[in-house]
Amino acid sequence: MAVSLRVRRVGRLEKWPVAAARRKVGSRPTKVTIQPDARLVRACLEGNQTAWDEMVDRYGRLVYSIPRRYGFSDADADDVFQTVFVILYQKLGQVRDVDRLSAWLIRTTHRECYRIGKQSSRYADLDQVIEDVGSPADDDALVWERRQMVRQALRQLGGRCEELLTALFYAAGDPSYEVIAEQLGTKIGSIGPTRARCFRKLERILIDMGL
Amino acid sequence: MSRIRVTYQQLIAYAAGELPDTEVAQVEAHLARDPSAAETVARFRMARATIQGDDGTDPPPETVIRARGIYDLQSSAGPSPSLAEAVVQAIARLVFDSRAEPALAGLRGQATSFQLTYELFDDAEMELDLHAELDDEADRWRLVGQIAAREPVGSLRVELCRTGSGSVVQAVEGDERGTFVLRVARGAYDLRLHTRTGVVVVPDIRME
Repeated sequence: MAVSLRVRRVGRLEKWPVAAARRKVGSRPTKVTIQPDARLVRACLEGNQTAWDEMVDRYGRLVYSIPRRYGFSDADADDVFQTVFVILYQKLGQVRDVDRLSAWLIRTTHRECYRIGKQSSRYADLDQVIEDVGSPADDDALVWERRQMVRQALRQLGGRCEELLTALFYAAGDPSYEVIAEQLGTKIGSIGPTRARCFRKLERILIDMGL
Repeated sequence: MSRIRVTYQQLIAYAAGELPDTEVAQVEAHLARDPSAAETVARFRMARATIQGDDGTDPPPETVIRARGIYDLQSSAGPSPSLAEAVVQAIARLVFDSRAEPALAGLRGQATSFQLTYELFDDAEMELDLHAELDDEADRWRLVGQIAAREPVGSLRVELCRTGSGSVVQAVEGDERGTFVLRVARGAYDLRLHTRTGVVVVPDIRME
């Protein structure tokens, strides 16, 4: 049965993810093989620099965003960032639930924000921003972890599907299919079916992740 | 009455709010019967809302590069990657502090530059000179260190830790002359120097 879509042509695509903006026109994100966290940790412990680089790349945005969310300057956010990854390196062999490394990183980053922030006079209201020194607010932690997982799932999807779904998800307000079709070099009429096909694949990844 | 089949594509169109009105009732009836289809709709909306609401910040490239470098610095220490396992063989002894010298302290309230000299390893054959200068604009201290010794210093790894914490906030390699540079936020720090001779800690350097 043919599915007709209400194609909305409201405005232009306002917001692209940074990665897409940096790509040259016509290039496609390649599908990457995403190692599970447990395997990545094991590879790091075995002396694999590439695995460590992947670790930093995978969780860099998560770790950097937390001090910035708390109002830290770039320099202080950088301090927190470096500290957290040093702690991660030191404790790689001791993290209990390596399949939920993002949760561990969120808690550790939160605590380092408090510790480092308290040593500076710049964050006088830190006690209002961070109410519980031990852990972030449950809602915040959940949102941050979920973002990390969805971004990771999209990256694992890779290719044309990653590009299409990211463009559709990121579009502020209603997506302009004209703009997206032009950007992706495809026909407007194929966006709906491709979106469904791609989301079916993404959904399998999300389910595997527990989402 | 036979049920009209609902496709996955219709589910996604419905989840995206783009299904024609004429098909909505049919899909909603299907969702009421099929929990897995309802989960698909919820999952799509969750993923979209998660990405749309993402106000996170990517770290600057140089921040990422430095963090990647942590691995190389740590693993070059030897068979054990754990900093906690590095045996501290000495605590440096402060032998000169320009802030304690009235003639050198200056007349301004807060020192914006100062010099420190330490003896390392108690044998006075290796000294560390530190020069700290405050960059007012960036509100950061620039700390330049140089090790003076009779023999060439050889490899030198410098780790900066917050005083009272084992956590390293910066790590750099010294050059062939035993010189290194750090830029730090205000605070109190310990320096941990990994030298050919051993590991020495320079404690409680206050840069307020």
